[in-house]
Amino acid sequence: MGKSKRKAKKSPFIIIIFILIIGICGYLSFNNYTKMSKLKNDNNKKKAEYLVLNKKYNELLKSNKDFSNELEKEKDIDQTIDNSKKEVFELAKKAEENIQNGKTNYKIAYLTFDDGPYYLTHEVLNVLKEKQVKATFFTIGAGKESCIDNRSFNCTLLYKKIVDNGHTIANHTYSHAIFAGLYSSVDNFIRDIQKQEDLIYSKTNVKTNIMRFPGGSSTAKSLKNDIIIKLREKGYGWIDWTAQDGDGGALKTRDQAWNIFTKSINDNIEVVLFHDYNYITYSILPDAIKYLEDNNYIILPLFHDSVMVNK
Amino acid sequence: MKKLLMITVVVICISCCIYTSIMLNNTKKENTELKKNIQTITTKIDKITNDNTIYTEELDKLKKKNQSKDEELMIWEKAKEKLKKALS
Repeated sequence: MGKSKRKAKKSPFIIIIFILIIGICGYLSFNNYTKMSKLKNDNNKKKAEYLVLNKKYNELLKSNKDFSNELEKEKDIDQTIDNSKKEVFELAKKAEENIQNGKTNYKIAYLTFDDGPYYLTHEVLNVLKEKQVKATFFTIGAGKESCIDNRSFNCTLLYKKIVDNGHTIANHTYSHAIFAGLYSSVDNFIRDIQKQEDLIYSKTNVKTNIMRFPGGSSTAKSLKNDIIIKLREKGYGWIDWTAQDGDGGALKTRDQAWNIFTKSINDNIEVVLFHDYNYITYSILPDAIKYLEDNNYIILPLFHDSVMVNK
Repeated sequence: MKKLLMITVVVICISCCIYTSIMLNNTKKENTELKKNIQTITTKIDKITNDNTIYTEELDKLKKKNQSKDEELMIWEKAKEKLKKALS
């Protein structure tokens, strides 16, 4: 009897505890679940936001890389031009062989301007730029300090402009003094070459390795072979010309220059002699370039490895 | 039997409570992590946008400066094309 009474007293207490536990657990679980649902919702939104931001970031990263590459390319443009120039000379060397072996209908013309820089060099450079043509300038040094070009600039500034415009700068001796002792001895001639080489280097930072004898190689007469040996030691190649408009002589009219020029263009590889002080040459230059291009000539600046440069 | 049933229900209830607490905690952690990630990527985006603006300005300046050089490069490229034709 006593046992069943105690049992009857215990039962409601246990039931209350039981209900309390279930109530508290239920409340906590429900509360947790509600919070969790809200947070999950928030997380889903955040995940979506993160995905959008991540996509944007990747796009920006890509454009950043593109910008960076483009910037490097722009910064390296001088190097790119140098590489392109080297490739052109390598291809030109092979093209010269093909032309000589009759394997192509293309021809090559090297335009060369002697005795400058002079008062017309600016204008000549502008024509070449307009016609998108590169040439070779056989420069001298004597009298250039006092030379003023057509734009009132000192001619010595033009050495750098020639190089900056991508043309080949070459050595035509410092003095060009054919009748005043240039060819009096091999040493004298080489000293003159060295003087011009130093001048060009001081103005352009370019070490020349192509030269032309003032008056042509035949002017050196008996000294020619000894001079060539010395030039070879100094790493120079030398070149004369195969075509011209006669502007080194007593040229009187444009027609005269044009006739001499067109008649002189016969070979598949031509080295054309001009002077960048001559107004008649300047006046026929655009037509001369067109004439050469119409006749399938690729116009290039000279390079040391060219077959036309004697070594 | 009744006792066993009651104990089982209590155990289930407590387990449920613990489970939801753990899950809530994990979700909170995930939320914090996401907030952190969003903040990081927003900072990165701000930085890269700033970089890109600087790049654009620098590039514009360089492009203007290099315009004549671009033309020169084009001339060499054209010469290359012509020579390739002569070689083909």
